[in-house]
Amino acid sequence: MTQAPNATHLEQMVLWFEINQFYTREARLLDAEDYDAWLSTMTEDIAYWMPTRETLFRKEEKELDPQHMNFYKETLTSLRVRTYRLKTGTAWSENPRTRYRHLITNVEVETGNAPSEYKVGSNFLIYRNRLERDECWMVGTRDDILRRGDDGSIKLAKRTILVDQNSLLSKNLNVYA
Amino acid sequence: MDLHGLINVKEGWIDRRIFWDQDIYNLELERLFARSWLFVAHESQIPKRGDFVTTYMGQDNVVVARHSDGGIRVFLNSCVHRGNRICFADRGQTRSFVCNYHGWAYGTDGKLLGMHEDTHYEGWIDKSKWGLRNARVSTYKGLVFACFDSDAPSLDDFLGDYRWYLDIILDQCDEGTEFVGGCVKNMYDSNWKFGAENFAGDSLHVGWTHNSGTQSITYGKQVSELMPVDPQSFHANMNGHCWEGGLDGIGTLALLSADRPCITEYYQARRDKMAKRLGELRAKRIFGSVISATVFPNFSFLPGIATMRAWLPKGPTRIELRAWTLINSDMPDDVREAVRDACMLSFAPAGLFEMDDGENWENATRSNEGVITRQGRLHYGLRTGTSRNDDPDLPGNISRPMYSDVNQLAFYQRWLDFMSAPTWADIPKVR
Repeated sequence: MTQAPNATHLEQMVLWFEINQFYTREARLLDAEDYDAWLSTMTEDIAYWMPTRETLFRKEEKELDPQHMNFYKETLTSLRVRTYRLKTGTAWSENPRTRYRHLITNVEVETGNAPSEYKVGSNFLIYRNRLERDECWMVGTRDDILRRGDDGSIKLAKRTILVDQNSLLSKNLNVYA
Repeated sequence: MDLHGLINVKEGWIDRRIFWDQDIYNLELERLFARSWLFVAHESQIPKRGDFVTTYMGQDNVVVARHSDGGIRVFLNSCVHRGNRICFADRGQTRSFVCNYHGWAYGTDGKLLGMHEDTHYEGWIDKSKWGLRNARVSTYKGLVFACFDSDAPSLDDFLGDYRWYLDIILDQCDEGTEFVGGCVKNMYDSNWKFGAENFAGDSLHVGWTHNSGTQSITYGKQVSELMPVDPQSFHANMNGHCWEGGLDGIGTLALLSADRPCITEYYQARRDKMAKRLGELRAKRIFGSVISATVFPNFSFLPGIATMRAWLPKGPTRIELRAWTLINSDMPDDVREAVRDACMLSFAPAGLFEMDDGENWENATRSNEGVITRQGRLHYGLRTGTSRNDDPDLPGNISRPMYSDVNQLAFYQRWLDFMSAPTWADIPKVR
C-alpha cells in the first residue's frame, strides 16, 4: 500500500475498507440497473469519461485527447438523459433484461489534492450476457477522484475509464463502468 | 447461383440468403467491394506529408497516406515478400513502412525502397516491379475514396447527381469540413447490408426502435413531433446512393439541441450564408430535417447529427463499424464540442439511438441460421414502383413520402447490378 503522508497504517486500512465498500455497492447498483441510486453516488460536477483506445506506434503514444471522439464524456445532466432510457418503457432491446456483473479489484488509494479528496485506481471486469448466448467481457481500469462531502459520505467526482480493447468487441455499450 | 432470383424489385421481396450465405458474401467481396469506389478517409485525418491512417476496403487492409509530393496514396497493407502487415497502427506519421518480418521497407506511396541485408538481393529483384498494389484515389470535397478496379468510372461519375446531396453537408462554408479527432470502432454480429439499407431509407424504424432514445434526449418528446408524417418528405436515390429525409429543416437540430442550444444557434445564424452556396431548398428546408443517407455500398451518414460511418464487412454475419464525426471547419470550439457530444450521445456504441439498432440487426441476421427460416422471403414491398426521375427540384429517383422501401430496393437493385455483372461494362451506367 502506498504510504500516505500524515496517515497511520490503521487509518489507511479503514479508508481502504470504506472505499471498497463504496465500489462494491456501486457495482451492485449497476448490476441491478438502479441508475437513480447510482447517480446519487456522484457529485454535482461529476466528469465521467471513457475515451476510445487507439493502436499507435510507441513513439506516437501521447496523453489521451479529451477533444477526441469517445464512448462516454458525461456530466450529471447527460448521465440522467442516458439513464432515462430504461424509464421510457420502450427500450425494446432491453427487454428481456441484460444480465450484468461488475467485478472491481486492484483498489489503490492515494490522498488527493485536497484533504477531502482521494485519488483511487481500480480495475474492472464487466460481464454481460443476453438472451441465449450473447456474451461480452470487458476488462479495464478506472482512475477516480472521490470526494468526502460535508455529511461525511464519499462521492464520485471524476472518473476516467480505459477499456482494454481497440475496436469495442460488442454491438453496443449498454453498460457503465 | 441464380442471383436474379434473390431480389425482386417489382414484387418487393428479398431472399434471406443474401444476409447469410458464405458464397454470396464471397461474391460481394469480389464483385462489389473490389470494384466499387469506397470511402477510406477524410483529408483532415492526414493533413501533413507522412501522415497515414489504416482502414479496410472490403476485407483488404489498406494504408491511406499523404505522400511526400502532397498527394494521397492508398495501398495494400501487406508485404510483397511473405505477406505480413507493414503497418500496425491506426494512424501516425512516418517516412516509410518497414515490415517486422524481414525488414522490407516501403515509401508512403507504397514503392519498395529496400530491405534488411539488401546486398543479398542484388541482381535478384527489380524493386520497381515489387511495390505494394495501389488503389485509384480520388477526393470529393474532403472525402477520400479509393477503388481497386481500373475499369471503374471516375469518382465524379460514380457519385453522379448524388453530389448535389453530399454538398448539403460538405459545402456549407468556405472553410470546408473536417473530422473530430479519433474514430469509434465496434463489432456487430450482423450482415453489413442491414446497416447500409437502414441508413438508405428506413424512416419507419425511427418512431418505433428509437422511441426510447428520442424521449430520453428530448425530455419526453415523441419521434412524430420531430419527424412529422409530411407528404412532401422523400426518398431520393441514384445509382444505389440513397438519401431520405424531410423538408421541415429543423427536426434533427431540435433533437440535438435540448441540452446544447449552441448547435441550432450556429446553424440558424448561417442559413442565409449557406443558402448563397446551396440555395434556399437545400440550406433552409432540407438541412436540419431528420435525414439519413448511404453512399453505395457501405458508407452512411446522418446530416446534422454529424455521424459518418463505414460498415466494414468481416464475413457474412460480422461487421466492424467505424464511425467519425463531421464538423465544419469554421465551427467555434463550443459548437465543435457540442456536436461531438451530441453525436456520441446518439450515435456511438453507447448512443441512445445506436444501441437499439445493433440488437435488431444481429437478431435479424442470426435468425437465418435456420434452414427453413432461410427459405422465406422478406417483405420490401412498401410503395414499390412509385419513384419518378422528373422532379423539378430534386435530382435522382424521387418517391414521396419518405415512409417506404423505395430506397432500400434501389440499393438492392444496384447490389444486383454489381453482383450479376462479369465486368464494369456490364453494370448499367444509370439507375
